[in-house]
Amino acid sequence: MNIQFKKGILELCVLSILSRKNCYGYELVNEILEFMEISEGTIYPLLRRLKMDNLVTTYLQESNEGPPRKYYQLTELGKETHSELILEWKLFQASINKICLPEESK
Amino acid sequence: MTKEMYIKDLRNYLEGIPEADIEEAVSDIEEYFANGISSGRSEDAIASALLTPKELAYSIKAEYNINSISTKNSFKKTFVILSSLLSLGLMNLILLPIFFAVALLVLSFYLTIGCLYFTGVLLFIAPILKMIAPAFVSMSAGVPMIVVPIIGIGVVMVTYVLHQLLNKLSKKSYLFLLKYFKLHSAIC
Repeated sequence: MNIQFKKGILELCVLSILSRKNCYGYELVNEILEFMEISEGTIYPLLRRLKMDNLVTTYLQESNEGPPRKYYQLTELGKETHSELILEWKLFQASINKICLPEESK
Repeated sequence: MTKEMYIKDLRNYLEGIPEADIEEAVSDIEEYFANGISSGRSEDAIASALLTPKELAYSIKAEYNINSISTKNSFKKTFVILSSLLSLGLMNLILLPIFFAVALLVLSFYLTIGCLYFTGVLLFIAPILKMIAPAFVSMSAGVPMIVVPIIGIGVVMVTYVLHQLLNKLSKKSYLFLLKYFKLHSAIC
């Protein structure tokens, strides 16, 4: 898949997963890896940016194995942004389908 | 590569951003390794699936700098961004001189506009200047005095239009640069 395209989409995927449940970094990466090939480190710069933009907050939680885990949680702003992005995605997807797959989108 | 080596490299490459941010990045990666190990992967496998320490550090740095520039805009910050983006790839090495060339070109256009305004104003007040200091104003004989201030107004008006065009142009190129930086910060 096109790299630039994937970068933009990754943000939407992360926000979507976090809108369903709070995750720690490793968990988040694995959720995405199930469906899409990404370089695992990509997630950290993205998470930092989301945090600096106040779309997510973090908290630490003890785990049974190893050190405490840093969980990521959507803020109110994050939830709003997520809904907006989903809407944009739907519109975008619909237009692309009309152009690229005119038979299927009828 | 072992976890220890990865983190050591990461620390080295991250140097320059606040200590707290380095610690945060390092603990994120430590946690990542710990989770990977407990799910049965080797340190080496985890390290090679991550970005290289260098790539990770630079994308964090670029992210960090872009965020601080959007809150506080200053020349120094711009420079910091440029230098950290430079390290992202050779492409930027080519683009940096172009960026400076464009910036200087825009600056020279603004200076020209400034001179044109000045000319217009001088032409406008030429008849008055001639009365106060005749030595400074030389006019060709045969040109009626009234024409000169009108030309002055004309010059100012034309300059104003050019000025607006230039504003639009420089704003566009600024936005383009900003977009370009953001694109780069969203490293693959």
